Parts: sequence; C-alpha cells; structure tokens
Amino acid sequence: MITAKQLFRWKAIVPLTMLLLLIGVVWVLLLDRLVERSIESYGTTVVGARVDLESADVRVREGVVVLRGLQVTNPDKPMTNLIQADEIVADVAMRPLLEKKLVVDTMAFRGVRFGTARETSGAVDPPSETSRELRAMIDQWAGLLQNPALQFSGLASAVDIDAVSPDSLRSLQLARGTTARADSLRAAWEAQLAALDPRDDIDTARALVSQLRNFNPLRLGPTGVANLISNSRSTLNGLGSVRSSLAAMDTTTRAGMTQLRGSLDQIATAQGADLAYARGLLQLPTLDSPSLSTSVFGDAVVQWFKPVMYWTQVVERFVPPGLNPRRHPGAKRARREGTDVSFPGGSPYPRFLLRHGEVDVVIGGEGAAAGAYAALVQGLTTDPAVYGAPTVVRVGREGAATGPRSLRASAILDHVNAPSSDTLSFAGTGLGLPTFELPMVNGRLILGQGTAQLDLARSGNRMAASVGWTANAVTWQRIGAEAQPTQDRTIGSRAWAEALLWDAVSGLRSVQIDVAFEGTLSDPRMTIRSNVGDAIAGALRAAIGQEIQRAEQRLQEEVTRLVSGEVVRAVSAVQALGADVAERVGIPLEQVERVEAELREELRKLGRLP
Amino acid sequence: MLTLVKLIQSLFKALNSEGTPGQVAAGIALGSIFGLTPLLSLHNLLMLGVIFVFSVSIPGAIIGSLVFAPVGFALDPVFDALGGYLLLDVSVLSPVWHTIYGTPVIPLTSFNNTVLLGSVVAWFALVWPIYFAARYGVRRYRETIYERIQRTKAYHFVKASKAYNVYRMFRP
Repeated sequence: MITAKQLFRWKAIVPLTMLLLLIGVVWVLLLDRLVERSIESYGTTVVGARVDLESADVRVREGVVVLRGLQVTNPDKPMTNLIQADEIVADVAMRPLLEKKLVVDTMAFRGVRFGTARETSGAVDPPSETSRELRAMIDQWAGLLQNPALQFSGLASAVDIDAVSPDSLRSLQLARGTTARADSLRAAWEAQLAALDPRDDIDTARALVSQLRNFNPLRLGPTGVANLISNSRSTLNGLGSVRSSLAAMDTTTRAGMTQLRGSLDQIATAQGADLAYARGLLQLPTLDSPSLSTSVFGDAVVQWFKPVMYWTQVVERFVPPGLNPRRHPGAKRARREGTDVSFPGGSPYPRFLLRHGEVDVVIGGEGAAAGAYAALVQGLTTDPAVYGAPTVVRVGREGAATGPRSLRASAILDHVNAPSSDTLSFAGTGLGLPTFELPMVNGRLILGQGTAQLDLARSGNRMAASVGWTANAVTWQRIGAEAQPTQDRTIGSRAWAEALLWDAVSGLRSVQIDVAFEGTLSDPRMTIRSNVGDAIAGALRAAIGQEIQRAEQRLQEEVTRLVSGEVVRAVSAVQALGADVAERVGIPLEQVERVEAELREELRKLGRLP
Repeated sequence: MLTLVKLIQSLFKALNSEGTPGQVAAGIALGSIFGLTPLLSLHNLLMLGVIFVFSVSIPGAIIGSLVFAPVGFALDPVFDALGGYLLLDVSVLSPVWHTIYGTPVIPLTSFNNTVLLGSVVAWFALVWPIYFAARYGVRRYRETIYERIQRTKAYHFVKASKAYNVYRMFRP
C-alpha cells in the first residue's frame, strides 16, 4: 500500500515554487520581446514584406501597450516604408487576453509618416506562401488586362487581302454549320412526315362526317347504323392519335427552328468580330480615342493599380466573412509550426479587435502634401462576424500649410456576412500625381501636382473601380534617343510613328486620365479615356486617316465577299425550312383538328357521345 | 559548469532517494511529453509540476524527454495531420472546440494548433505503453547489464572519478 508520504515528494514543493516563480519572472521579462516578435511575425505574414518594431512596452497592470519605432515596408518598394510610426499607445482589454484574444479599446498613433526611406531592404526572402499566392493572382489579373500595342507596320505595305483566310472566319463556319443543320433537320422531318402522312385519315373522316350528316336509319337498317357508328368511333380514335403525333412534331420543329434562327443571330454577331479579327491581321492602328488611350496608358495604369488590388485581396484573405473555423500558420519554432485553427463562433471576442483608433499626422514643409491630417478607424478586426459591424476608416485634412487644398478618404469594409464587400473612396486636390513611362510615345509623362480620385466597390469576387487624374501643368520627357533626321520616316516605320505620337502629345499641358476597372479577377475589363488619346486620334486621322479608311473598306469588302454567299445560303435554307414546316406540319394539324371536331359533333348529335 | 552539474546532482539526490523500476518508468513516461510535444507550452509547465510533486524519477523524466525529443521531431508530420483531423474533420468534436476556444485560460495552451493537439493526443495514447516498456527495460537493465558493469575495472575507475557523479544523476 502506497502512503501519501511515498506518493508525494513534499520536499519538492519549495524548489518547484521557486522554479515556477523563476519562470514567471522570466516570462514577464521576456513579455515585451515576445509581443514585439509576435507583431513583427504576424505583420510580415499579412503585409508580405518586413514589419519592424523597435520596442514594445507591455504594462500589464495598466492594460497599456506602447509600441515604438514601427516600420511597415512597402511590399512593392522594399527600400521604402509604407508607413512609419514613432509611437503607438494601445489601451488593451485584459479579460480577452485570458482567451488569447487581443481587444484594443483605443489606440493612438503619434509621429506617423508615409513613404519614408529604409536603411535596409524590407523584402522577405522567400516571401510567405500567402503573399506569393496573392501576387501570382494579381499578376494573372494584370496579364489578362495586357493591351495590344499600337500597330503601324500595316500602313507601310499594301493591304494584303490574302492574309484573310476563309477558314479563320467564324461567321463563315457558323453559316456553313447552319446550312448543314437546316438540311439535316429537313431530311429528318421529311422522313417523319412521310411515316405520319395524315391525308388518308382526313379523307376517311370527312367521308364519315358526310355520311353522318345525311344519316337515314330506315335506309341503313340496324346493322348499317351499328357499323357506321363503330367506324366513326374507330376513325375518331385514329384521328386523336394522328393529332397527338402531329402536335408533338409541331413542337419539335418549332424548337428546331428557334435554334436555327438563333444561329442566324450568332452569324450576324460573328461577322462584326471577323472584321475586327481581319483588321488585326493587317496591323492597322485604331482611330478610336478610348482604344488609343488604353493602348498608351493601359500597362502603366495596371502597374499603378496592382497594389490596390493586392491590398483588397489581403483584406479579403485575412478578414473572411462568417463564423467558420479558420486556419492560420502556427507560430515559428524549432518544431514544425503546424496550423492554428480559430473558432470565431466560440468566443464573444474576435482574435483581434481595434474598437477605436485615432491617427494624427502632421506633414511639415511647404510641399503639396504639407498639412495636418486626422484619421479615424473603427471596428478593425480579424473576425467581423463576431464584432457584428463593418470596419470604418475616415481620413481628412484638418489644415493645409500651403494654398487651398483638400483631401478626403473613407473606407467601409463590410465582412460581417458573405459575400463580403468593400467600398473605398478617395479624392484630393493639390496632390503629387504619378509619373507614367509611355514606351509607345517614347516618352515619360510627369503629371506633377493635380487632382486625384479613386472610387472602388467590391462585392464577392466582382469589383468596379474608377480612377481619375487631372493635371494642368504636366511635363513630357523623352525616354529614348530622338529619331535622327537620317532615319527612315516613311509611313508605318517606327521612327515615323514615334515622331507622330510625340508631336501629338508633347504639346499638351493639361492632361485628364479616367480609368474604369470592372469584372472579376479572372475576367477583368478596363477602359481608359484621356485627352491624350483624343490628341493621338486627331493626329492619326490627319496623317493616315484616308489610308486607314481605304484599307478598311477593302478589307470589309473582302470579308463580305468571303462570307456573304454562305450566309445567304444559310438564311435561305432556314427560311425555306420554316415555310415548309408551316405548310407540311401546321396545315395538316389544323385540318385534323377541324375534321376531328366535326366528327365528334356529328356523333354527339346521334347521342353516341357525351 | 561543474557547479551546475553538482547543483543538479544534489537536487536529484535530495529528491530521488529511492528509485524503483516503476518510479523510473513513470518518470520516463511522463517526461516523454517534453520530447513528444512542443516544449514551450502551458501543459508542459503543468507536467513539470506533476513530476516534481509526485514521487517519480526525475532523472527518468530527463531521459524520457531526451529519448523522445527526436521521435517528436520525426513524428511532427503525423501529429500535424492528426491534429488537423481532430480540429477540422471530426464534426462530433466541433462543439467542444468552440466551447473551449471561448473558455478563459484554455486557449493559452494552444490546443488549437494542429501539431500541439496531435502530439498531446499521441502522448496520451502512448503513455501507458511507454510506462510498461520502460519498467520492463529498467528491470532487465538492473538484473543484467548493471550487474555486469559493476564488475568491470572501468566501472571502478569511473566510480572513483567525478564522471561517476554525473552518471549517478541518470541512474535510478
């Protein structure tokens, strides 16, 4: 029998207590470092670039955490900080900490700056899996928006009509297919009609109707009357069966005709696409201003917008709607990290919540951005469904150092229920606008200061955004060597094109660019309108409008010649079949129905039918 | 270094005056949790208390943790899969996880980490087999190997040296 003395090691109580105390002291001493590393690690995972923190000061008894020297690297520019804050003071709720949840009641940022230079690169090598995945998605999105460069080479040579292969014209293929299908349907229906020929049944029924109308029982006798009635009933049944078959066939043929007429509509649409395709083969420049604007600015604008898309995807990834269990990478350690699974529905506290945050930013100097800004963040959380309200961010300019300037920005991230939705709105005047490299015009457009506007609405996987820049004192710079007078400047040559475009745009001092994005990540669309596109279109029209028009007209004639014969055949085949079907199915059906009704009526008069 | 060794040695001498095969085996079985599961976890602090308070062999616990540490590393992928299965795929357990996720203190154990949960569950499944195997092993060791070692010249030489003191730390 083991006694309590044998079972317990009483002497160990004191050393154990001391050991636990030691562990407690070490934990308290290391808590600051622990918090610092947790913020750096989680921040780096979310941002996709290094997040550095100089120090963290956790005052457990006061429920206050003070973070100093926060630097968040811009993932697109590893030597630049997205945001830098000298000090962040957070008032932390203590009860949720026991559940390993961080609920910050208020948070104040001091000494916030944007776009500051870093001493060391903030790139993460290798980047986190999430970051890689998101970047791949955004690159794919950008790839789908790639714009064809303006083509001028077609102008240099005579229009090569032979380049248009009939086999590559979709309308031609559709027309051939439609004719073949019409022929095939005609053959099938004719075979069915032959088997179903109702003429004999109609004639027999008409004869019986006539006999019944002239009915004389004395002359026919009892046997004759019985035979007449029996024949009439039997014919009536036969007519019912023929009528059902004809009605079924009528339905089938109508459906077939609807499909064939649909094919004719498709042919009409395909003809337009064929013309555009053939035009592309000839490498003729478009004279349409939006298309020109998209060709000139498309790639540069997509590159500019990529970070916006990246951040919307980051928000979507790290703040999913609903209460389903979520997976996050486990904390780094010598052992395998594993996956942390959170169960948002199990706790009244989100994993992270910032109830109310205030950011005061003062940008000094006389620059365009100089002034005092105030930002307000409400309900920033990792589990919006637990918090139950959207995250709201508002930024405003409280006072400007130079000139009348304005800036307003707001964002509402509603991830409470699926599908999640985000709206973002930004507008400002007197801002530093981007500079675009435009290889097509062999130049650089420096927008300088001006007005910028961005509106974005995302719901589920659909997104619509508009971006606008207006600048009234732009500068144009050559990015390559100017074409030498000795170079070939014939129409369609590269030197000719560059000179034409440069001359068209370099005189512009006011530039307006309006961009619209819509669609999904896998099916995006972009439209750009700009006075730069108008200027290029005007210059092109003046220089080569007539050549293009002539080439296009020849092209249209050739495409029409190749396609029209087959299209006419298809249309005729469908129309003839339609008329034939109406005559051979519709009319007999009508006749059967009529004679059936007459026969039924005569039998009813004899009192042989209810 | 020697001071530290002596300190530990004296601590063990004081705490482990008797060491039956059962006590050593219990120490190994309980200590194996330090090797099998991620070391810096709240449950390991609790287990440290249990080992200290109950009269199990502390050198045995050290041996258990050292022997099973490489096993833990090797089995991490299995623990990861097991923990993931329990946390996400067993619907019967879902209400349990939701409840304890919102219960104070328990989330501090990181039970919701796949590797940690998988390794703790595996340790619960293995603790008795480890105990019985260790008890058998210690008995066999004392009856055969330890007797033979005691008769060797090298043993007497080592016994006379300081190295023996270190060895005694790990002897039951």
